[in-house]
Amino acid sequence: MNGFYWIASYPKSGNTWLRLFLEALLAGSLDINRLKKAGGHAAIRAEFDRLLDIPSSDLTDDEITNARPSLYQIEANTATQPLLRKAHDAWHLTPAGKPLFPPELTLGAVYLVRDPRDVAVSFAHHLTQDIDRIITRMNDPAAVMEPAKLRMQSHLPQRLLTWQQHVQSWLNAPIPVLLVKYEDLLAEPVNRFGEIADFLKLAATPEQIAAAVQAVKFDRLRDLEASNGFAEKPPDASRFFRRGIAGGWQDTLSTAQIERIEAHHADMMRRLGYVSLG
Amino acid sequence: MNHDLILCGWRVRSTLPLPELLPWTGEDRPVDIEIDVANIPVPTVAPTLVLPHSRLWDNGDFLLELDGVGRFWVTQGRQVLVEPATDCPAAGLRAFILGSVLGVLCHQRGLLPIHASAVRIDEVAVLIAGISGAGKSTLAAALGARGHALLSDDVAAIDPKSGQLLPAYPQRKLTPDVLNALQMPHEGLLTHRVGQVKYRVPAFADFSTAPIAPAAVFVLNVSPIGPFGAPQRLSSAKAMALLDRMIYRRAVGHHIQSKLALFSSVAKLSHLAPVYTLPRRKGAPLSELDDFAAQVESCVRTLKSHG
Repeated sequence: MNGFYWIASYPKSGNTWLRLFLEALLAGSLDINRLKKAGGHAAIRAEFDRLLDIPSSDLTDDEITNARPSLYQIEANTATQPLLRKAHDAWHLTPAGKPLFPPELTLGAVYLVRDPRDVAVSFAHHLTQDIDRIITRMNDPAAVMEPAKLRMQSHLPQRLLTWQQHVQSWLNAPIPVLLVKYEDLLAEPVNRFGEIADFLKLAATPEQIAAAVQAVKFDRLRDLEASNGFAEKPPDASRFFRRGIAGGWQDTLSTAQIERIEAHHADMMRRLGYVSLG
Repeated sequence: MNHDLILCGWRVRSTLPLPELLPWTGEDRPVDIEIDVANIPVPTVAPTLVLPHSRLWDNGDFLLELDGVGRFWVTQGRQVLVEPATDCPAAGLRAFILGSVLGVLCHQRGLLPIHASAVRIDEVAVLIAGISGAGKSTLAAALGARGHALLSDDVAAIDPKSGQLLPAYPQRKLTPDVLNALQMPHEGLLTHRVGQVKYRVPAFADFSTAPIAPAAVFVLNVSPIGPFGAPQRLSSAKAMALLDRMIYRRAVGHHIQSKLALFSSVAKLSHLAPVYTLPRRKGAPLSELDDFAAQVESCVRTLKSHG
């Protein structure tokens, strides 16, 4: 049986960067607006409607979430190779009590994590919302991406939980998980991306890894977005590839904002080494 | 004296009130479709298609099942049995009768249901197709504000024999921001489903139940990156491929009607009506909606003037 590798992360933690790397590696070329190999996403509304043959517009958020494990079952039944899927949902149970991402269909998950202080800054730009509101949202156990609010979104509602709970949920999931820190990807891209390719059992030579890393260097992605646009950029955001650095929060967040984030997520930040122990 | 109703030109007799439908005013002829509240006898033989909410048997019998809503049995293109869940509001049942059940009735009756809204522009039907969330109902409402009556919202039934669109029922589903943008009131409206923000908006004005020829199909293509601009007419091969993807309840339809029968209907529709992709910028402000509708209107009028 074939199954899924979930490319999982809280939003704004390097997920797109990693998927573009995988695209460059698997496709041998990179058009950031037409991903052929690594464009899969676990919460595309049109895929849900097509494969379950029901308009999701007639369903409530809970009904949609309850049906998503069946969607993955149908996809796995017909897959001829392992499926890569981006996921921003926390690893959680549906309202009906079943794992949203069925372990029996899961080959593994690459979980990307990034310093929540940088996530807050990036998320605020992405959603064009103020940082304090984002910090509150990152600490809201009821947080959902793209819920059924004002208008229907191209993606299905995705439950995030708090930032700390999100990380915890994937690390505790009963599946093989490779934890990768965004900061480590930046510091040692060839080694870290190479480990991910190994985990995903992609047969790639060191030269191919190095070439794919080169293809998704931040400056290059920013230039591609500047000249062609980027389909994953939210309409109101000025650009998607903004800074691509670690520690940018230090010149952006106020002391009060830093203290709030560190208080909300103290345990997980310590565990991941984002703040010192003690 | 009866209280029969009209849906897609069918004479409908329902023991469940369906206030969205107009009364039957046509000739006195046998009832086409009966809708009753009843216990559903689920066959003991195994279904041929099993989806999370739907089951389909070899003979085309269909069961839709939603926890907390109810069960819907559709057979022979002429009978619908509804078994409501305890406490399900009647409006919630109607969301599925006038959606999925309608789509399956179309398939059982050999029609082509397209996932589209339809409006009447200068005495011809114009279909606005697209995936969920593309903005079909929104564009149809904006065309409504320009004086073009609604024919169908979300499910546009084409009869491949006559080549005509069968107007469904006079109701739109619109979000409050669209209602505000089009200065339509939303006091007293029900939501499509409890917990959803879309309202059911009656559109009785100028609604006509008479079959009408389709003159164009626009398929909305929402994207954050261009090119944007005028509708692009598709070659017949591309038109058929795209229309095929726009079939409502397509997987169920393939089992009920056969892929070949449905594809023949798609070919017929694409022959009768040119198919355009209609690019729409993701996140485009509603203030641009009227211009967008005007563009569609002008495309249809140009097409007609060229005969």
